[in-house]
Amino acid sequence: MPIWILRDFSKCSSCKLCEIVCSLKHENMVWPEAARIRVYEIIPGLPVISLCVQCDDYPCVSSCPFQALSVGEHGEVLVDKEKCTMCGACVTACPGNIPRILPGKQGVIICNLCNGEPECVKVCSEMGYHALQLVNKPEGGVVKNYLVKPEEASTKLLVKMMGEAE
Amino acid sequence: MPEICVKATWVDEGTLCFNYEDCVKVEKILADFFKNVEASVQRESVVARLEERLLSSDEVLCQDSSIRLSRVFKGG
Amino acid sequence: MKGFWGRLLEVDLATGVAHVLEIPEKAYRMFLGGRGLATYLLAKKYGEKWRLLDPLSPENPLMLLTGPLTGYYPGVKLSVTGKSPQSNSVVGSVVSSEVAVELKASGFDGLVLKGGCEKPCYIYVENGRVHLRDASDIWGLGGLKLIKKFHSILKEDVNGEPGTPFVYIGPAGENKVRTAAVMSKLAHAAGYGGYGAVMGVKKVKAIAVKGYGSLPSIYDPESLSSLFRSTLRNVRERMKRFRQWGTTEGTWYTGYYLSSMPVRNWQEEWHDVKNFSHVGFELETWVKNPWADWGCPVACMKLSLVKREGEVYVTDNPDYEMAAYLGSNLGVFNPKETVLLSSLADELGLCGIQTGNVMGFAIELYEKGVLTRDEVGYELKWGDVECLARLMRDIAHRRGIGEVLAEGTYRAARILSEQKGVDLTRYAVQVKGITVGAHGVRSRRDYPQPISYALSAQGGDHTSVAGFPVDSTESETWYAILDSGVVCMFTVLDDKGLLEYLNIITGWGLNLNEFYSIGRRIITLQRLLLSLGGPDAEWGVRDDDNPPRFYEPLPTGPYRGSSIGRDEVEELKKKYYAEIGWDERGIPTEETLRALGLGEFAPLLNQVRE
Repeated sequence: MPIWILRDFSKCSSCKLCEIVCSLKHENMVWPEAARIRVYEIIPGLPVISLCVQCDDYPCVSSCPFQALSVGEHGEVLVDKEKCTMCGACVTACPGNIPRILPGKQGVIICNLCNGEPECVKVCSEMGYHALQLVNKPEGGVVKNYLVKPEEASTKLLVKMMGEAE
Repeated sequence: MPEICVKATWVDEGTLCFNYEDCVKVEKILADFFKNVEASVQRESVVARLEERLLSSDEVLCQDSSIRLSRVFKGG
Repeated sequence: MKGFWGRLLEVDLATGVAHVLEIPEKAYRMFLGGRGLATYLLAKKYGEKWRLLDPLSPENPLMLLTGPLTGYYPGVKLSVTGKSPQSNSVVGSVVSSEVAVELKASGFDGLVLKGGCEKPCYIYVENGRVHLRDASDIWGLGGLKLIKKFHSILKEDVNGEPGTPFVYIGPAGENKVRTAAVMSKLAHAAGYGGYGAVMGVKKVKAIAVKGYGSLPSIYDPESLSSLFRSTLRNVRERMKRFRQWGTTEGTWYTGYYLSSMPVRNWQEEWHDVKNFSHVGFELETWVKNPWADWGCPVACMKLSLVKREGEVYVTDNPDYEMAAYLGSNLGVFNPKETVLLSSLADELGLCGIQTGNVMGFAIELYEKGVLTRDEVGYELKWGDVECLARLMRDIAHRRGIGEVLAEGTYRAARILSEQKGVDLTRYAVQVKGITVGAHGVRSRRDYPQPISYALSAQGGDHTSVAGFPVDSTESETWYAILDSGVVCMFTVLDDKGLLEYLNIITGWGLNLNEFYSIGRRIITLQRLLLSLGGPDAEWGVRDDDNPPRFYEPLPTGPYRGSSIGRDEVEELKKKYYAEIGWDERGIPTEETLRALGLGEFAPLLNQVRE
């Protein structure tokens, strides 16, 4: 049964502890750019959470010319670092450009759900924010709706808060 | 019947000791201590240590102990 | 070197050339980073001609520094320093900004700006490469308008990433107002010290930083992972009420209960307006709770919003200081109105404390007939939001009466005293050029030590108060350590906890004594520079004193009649000097300098005037 990280922007405090613990877990150092989950706070107070949504059709996986990407048992995208040439095909294929290539790092980075126990969800819950929750993956291709550019999502949140269009 | 002695870095007059019938929660010790000091202290700004160990509020002490309190911020 | 890079990025704004400043590990070991390192570097470079260095000249460097704890300790603060236009010493101001993390991710411990741009510019540091760009499209803007515009400019102009962190100044900084702040994230300000004006003199509108690397390696990475998580848990557990209300709780607690909150230029320190409390703000103005900065388990901020006459005003809570200084100190006891004024201060890029203080000063002078309607142009009335907003704008733009008030309370009092031939310093609630934070000393319930501000190397700065015992969290030596770490005081465990953390990152194996020596070293060097002062103000032993108002008995509230005494302060002063190793004039002795490893600065003692 595929699992999924449910994200609530209104509960997100902008603390970015998810980014920090993700990089500590995967890279053994504090390296926010290498976090698989990113929080964009373009408008102060209105953060936007950005993370792989595990599209039903996994366009990133099928786009890879080197078969470096695959789907794991929880529905997560797995990256074979040896096969990955960092060509960027998956980044373009992803409707949200979520996969990232970092200078000095072998292999593209995409959330792999930490073997079914995502670290980001743990810390967000421990800290009492509960902006990230582990749920069963929603059906009906719903997840792609989350792939809104951070700038666009920020604007929507701002208009919603101010009660008027700017 | 533990005797808990508390030394706060911001209080001049030495250590205050309290005797309890039974095991006591750190929170209770702190509450008793604050009743006896002049200046007002926000609970959040106070950190309690038992020797080298940080104490959490709901920890329970059953033996004679010496606690050190620091106040880590005053205002905001 | 573990936990830091040993490198600063120095930019010459006139030429656009950037170069790397190598800093030896020893300097970090003696001064940490942030305030301490800045004081050391400034004293080393300018010590000889300190008195002549004009803080409002492009020669005064603007330093944005991190410390060994930045990025590894929960929470974030960026240290902002240079020579302070308020006190003429180094004031370690801090502001919560991810620029600190981005700098460290860029391979640098900090950014130093020298000289000035010819025309308004912004700086974009991308993975260590410096771009100086034209800022004419954003000059004059502030608040949300600026933030939105700057984000799209970063995207179009330099292909910047969404949400790239940046610090900036508002119109007040542009106009070199001494009470201007260096701003971050809409409502955060590095206010103490007046560095907004320093940035404005350099014509730098904003500094955006993006780094793609990891933070520097540390001494004991295994221990760090678990210590990070346990620290998060410990702080979170202790700060639950703080998360709900932030420091806004002080609006009631410090005002009604502790009676230490400034009311109408500190004429009183008590109020009993129930709605002017954290609950009042929560119910009337907060639209999002909680709101945090990078790595923070507390999240003391809230997003606050009011609408008035078709305009929308957004700000944070506001925090206690703003609520006091743009609230009770101005005779305002209404959450919505305070939020409006706080939002305006944010937009103008003004420090709420320094500005709220000088506004209170002006209104009291008006009340007493010293300032007249003719010279102000309009009536100044306590609690009148229209006139208060107008006055704030006048200060930010140095218009009319705003011109003299823009110089800050100390200088405005001096100028007006001369102009009017009457001593107005008794109405100035400030110490050594820096107005006093919203925590009074007269009731003895809030800040019980009467030397808190009188002896502090940072004057009226309530986040760096002097106190006994000198080697404890009651002392300015502790706050110097926090400002040099660089950490946010609300996420700190205690001194032993912070020290353990520091040792795990750096491998220095310091003990508590050595830890506090770092604090003493920083304070002592700041003190030495304070004694040199100049060019427009210098301080002597007489300035180690409280504002005259603090000797007046409280007229209202449960501590009516209470005050502090001059004899008491004099006695504590002598005791403090002895404890911290200064002579009877409050000047560090040569022996103290040498004992702290500051022997190279001993020659500066010859320049200290009697």
